[in-house]
Amino acid sequence: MPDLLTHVLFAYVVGAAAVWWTGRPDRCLPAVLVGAAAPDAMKATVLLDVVAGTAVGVPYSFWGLHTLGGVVVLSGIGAVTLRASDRRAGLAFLVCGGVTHLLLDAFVVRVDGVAPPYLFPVSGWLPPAANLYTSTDLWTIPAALALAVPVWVARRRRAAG
Amino acid sequence: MALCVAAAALVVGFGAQFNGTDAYPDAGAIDADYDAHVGETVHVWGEVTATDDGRVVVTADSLSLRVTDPTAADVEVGDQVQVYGELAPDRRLVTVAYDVQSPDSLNAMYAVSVAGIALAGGAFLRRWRVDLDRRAFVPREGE
Repeated sequence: MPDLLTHVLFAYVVGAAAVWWTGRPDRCLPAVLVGAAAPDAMKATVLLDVVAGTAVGVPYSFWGLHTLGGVVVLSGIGAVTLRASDRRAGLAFLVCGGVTHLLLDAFVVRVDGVAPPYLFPVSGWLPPAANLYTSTDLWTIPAALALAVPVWVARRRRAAG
Repeated sequence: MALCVAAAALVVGFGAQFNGTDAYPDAGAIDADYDAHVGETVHVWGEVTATDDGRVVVTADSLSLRVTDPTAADVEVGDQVQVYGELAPDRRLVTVAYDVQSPDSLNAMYAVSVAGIALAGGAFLRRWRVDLDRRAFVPREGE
């Protein structure tokens, strides 16, 4: 839950490393960026004030999508929008992006010192909050740019020659 | 279809496991039977709704609490706050820790987040296009 620009820039760095490491084509890289934005799709329910509650007697919480399980399911939904031959790689790179999202969110300030159960439904473990930044601490953007810009320049140079 | 069912299962499963727990204190439930919760340590995300007489009131759902911190000098009505502390009688909260986010800073966060979504979407559509016949994203030529 830093801002989504920080998430996407950080995902770019991880995605660049992932395509380099796996030797997959460059078209896989944007899937990491999209995957990194996907977990915050549920924030629409926060803005609409319906994020959690009870409906017809059934408790629900859209925070369930902002978890490891949510990353896998949302990435699966994203992957089936790709042509069949790209789905497997697309899924992997979307999940990669989603995991970077949860990783950065583990460092968000929680004044009770406890981060949410991001490993749900694998585990209900509440990790200690790293309390490094809040969603409105925009210094994370220059920090992410300091990582992303050199990577972007290096990739341009490599592509050029 | 199976993926949509899985998504729904996550939403319900998470609610069943965590709604109203220590991890996700249910402000409405505290409000419904306040006296039973006195002495409990809670983490509430709410909004500053009053700063009269130097006393700050934080409201989450139907629950309004007078908090020891932040003080009126630290916040303005409309600020979003997370407060952690112990519930005391008469709807007071003895604050252990808190964090404040102003509406302006939240708006700035939303603005740059839209830029982030545009960056991710733009980067994707630069290398992929919609194939209407196959109803799927396919790589652009040369990708």
